[in-house]
Amino acid sequence: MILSKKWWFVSIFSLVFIIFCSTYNFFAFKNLDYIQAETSYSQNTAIQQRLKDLGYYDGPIDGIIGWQTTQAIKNFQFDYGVTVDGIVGPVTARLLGVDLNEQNNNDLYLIAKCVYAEARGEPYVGQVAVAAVILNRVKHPDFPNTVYGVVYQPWAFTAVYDGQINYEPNDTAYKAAQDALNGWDPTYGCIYYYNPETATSEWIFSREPVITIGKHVFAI
Amino acid sequence: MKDLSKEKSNMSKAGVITLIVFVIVLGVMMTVFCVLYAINKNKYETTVIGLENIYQRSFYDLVENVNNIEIKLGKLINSSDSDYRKKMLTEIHENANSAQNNLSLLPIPINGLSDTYSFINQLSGYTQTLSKLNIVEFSNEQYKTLTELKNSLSLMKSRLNKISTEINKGYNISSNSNLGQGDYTNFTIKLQGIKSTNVDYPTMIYDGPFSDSVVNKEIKGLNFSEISKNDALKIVENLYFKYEESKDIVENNNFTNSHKIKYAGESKGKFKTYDFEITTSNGNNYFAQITKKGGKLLTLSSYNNNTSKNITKEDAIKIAENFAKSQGLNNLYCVWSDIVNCDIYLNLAPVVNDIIYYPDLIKVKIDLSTGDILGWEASTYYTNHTDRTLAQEYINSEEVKSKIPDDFKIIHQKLALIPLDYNKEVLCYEFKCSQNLSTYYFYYNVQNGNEENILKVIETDNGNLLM
Repeated sequence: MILSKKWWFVSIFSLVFIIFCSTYNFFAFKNLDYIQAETSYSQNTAIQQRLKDLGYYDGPIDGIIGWQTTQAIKNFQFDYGVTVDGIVGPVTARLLGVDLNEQNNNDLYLIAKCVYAEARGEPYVGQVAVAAVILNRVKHPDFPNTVYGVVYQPWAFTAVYDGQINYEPNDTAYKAAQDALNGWDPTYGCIYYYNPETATSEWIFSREPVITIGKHVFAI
Repeated sequence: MKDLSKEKSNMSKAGVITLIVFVIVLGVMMTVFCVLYAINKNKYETTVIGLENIYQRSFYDLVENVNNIEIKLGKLINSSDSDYRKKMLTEIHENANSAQNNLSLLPIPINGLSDTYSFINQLSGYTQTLSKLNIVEFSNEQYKTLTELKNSLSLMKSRLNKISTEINKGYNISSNSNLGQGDYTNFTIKLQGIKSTNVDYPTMIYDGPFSDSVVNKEIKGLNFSEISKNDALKIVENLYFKYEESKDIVENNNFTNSHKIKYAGESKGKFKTYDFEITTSNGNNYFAQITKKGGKLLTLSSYNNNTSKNITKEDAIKIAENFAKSQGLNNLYCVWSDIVNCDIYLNLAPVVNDIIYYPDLIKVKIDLSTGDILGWEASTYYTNHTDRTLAQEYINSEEVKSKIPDDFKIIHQKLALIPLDYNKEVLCYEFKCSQNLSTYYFYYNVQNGNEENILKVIETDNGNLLM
């Protein structure tokens, strides 16, 4: 009888704890700090290339600052008498001869981010097509006139709203964005795309479909 | 029996302690929870207020811009001075650009207000085009369009002013626009009222940014009969991607490849194509589109992750030009290149009778590590390529040469057909010149010697960019 009372306490306690845990996530609101890389893809490849040239790094030039690259940065920092933290700040960057302030590839970077967030599981040409849709919208009268305007147009891309836009794009997304900027457009002027299985808007089905690539239907 | 009751009291003591601990833990948890909740709620509310402020600012900027455009259109229609008109047209173009910008910051679903977007963008393009034309007197048609534009703008203005009044009374944009793609919200419906229900936006006919003629560009280069799916498959079977294979074609002429080909459906857009997925013997995946009309290779798309460069730029150019030949395009030469990581992007243009045809560009992407063809893009070529009648009477090239500043050294002189903005082409003398360490291209119209374009070459480590 008493033993069961003890168990009663324990179960109430765990129940309250579970309710607390589950509601905490709900009330604490979505965490607004997303993953932000310190340096961009092109800067990362430049850093890796310089470290490789100097003999500190022998891994692949993939733009990903992983364990091997961080170790190489630390060794470099140790040899050059800089604080050994494995992070390329202004001092380390100057010693490495890498420019941290390059600004010219913003469009490429944003398109790559959008492609990665929206279509990373899609075949390569499907990723090129998503990048091409962004560029087609820039030229089309029904949409804003800059890459930034199009990507950040309210409710235009779901990945912009759930924060996935801030993930660091991979190499494939970069290549797809680069192809689209160089004129590849397998959709020939499409300005919409949707996944017929997950599309929530009835309206999108009224657009004239042009081509299906992977899971996406591209439409004008 | 006695022992048992002792044990009983011991156990109830333990129960009380557990209860006390439990209550304390619960109390602490609740306090922490409340504090965190309050902090986050505060953060959230600040964010929402900040967002509402941006929305309201964008809205009031939009109102301001639309008011300005309406007033300036009135001045434009009634002015008889061409300089003043030009000033008004330029200002309207700028106001329309900002209005478009303001509109794109407001929370409207993409299908909610696309015709208003289109109207404002075309208004910006139309006034920009008119301002460049140096019109002395508006034609009846232009006058009519401008008057209709002014009427539409007046209606839009009064509707926007009504919404302003509501916002002044406490209408909140963010709370009246719930997130949802394709779903109309209270705010969208209010804004839709800026388009009058019984008058459509006037049509603006012009060749300029955002015009219908640019969006619906006609395809000139595919006047062929349609082929069947099987014919298209044969064309795909004969594609080669590797440099060695191209030698096979040239030397043996009996090349057969071992790619896996899968039919991937049709495209029903501007270009009607049969689409295929190809897996080559070395595992690369390609996407290829063959036009129904004429069975031309329109697109080839692939990528790989190689990092070592084994092929020179000159070899890559040779590979691209040979590949073009295998597609029946015999007079294409490389006019521009850019290396990105391990890929080279090449632009090929036809050169016929020593005239370069820049509007008919084909883009080729080659992997510099293996020499494989990774991409082919011929939509620009097939959109523009046609039998052209070029200007026959040229002014002497010496006459235009004098227009080039003295400190420029002429490296070479050629004839080139260049695309001007928006569906126009013009035959020019092309002069490649150097000044100090910079290279420039000057283009002069062969008929009247007008300077049509100047390009500056920006030499990077990877290739030449034209600005």
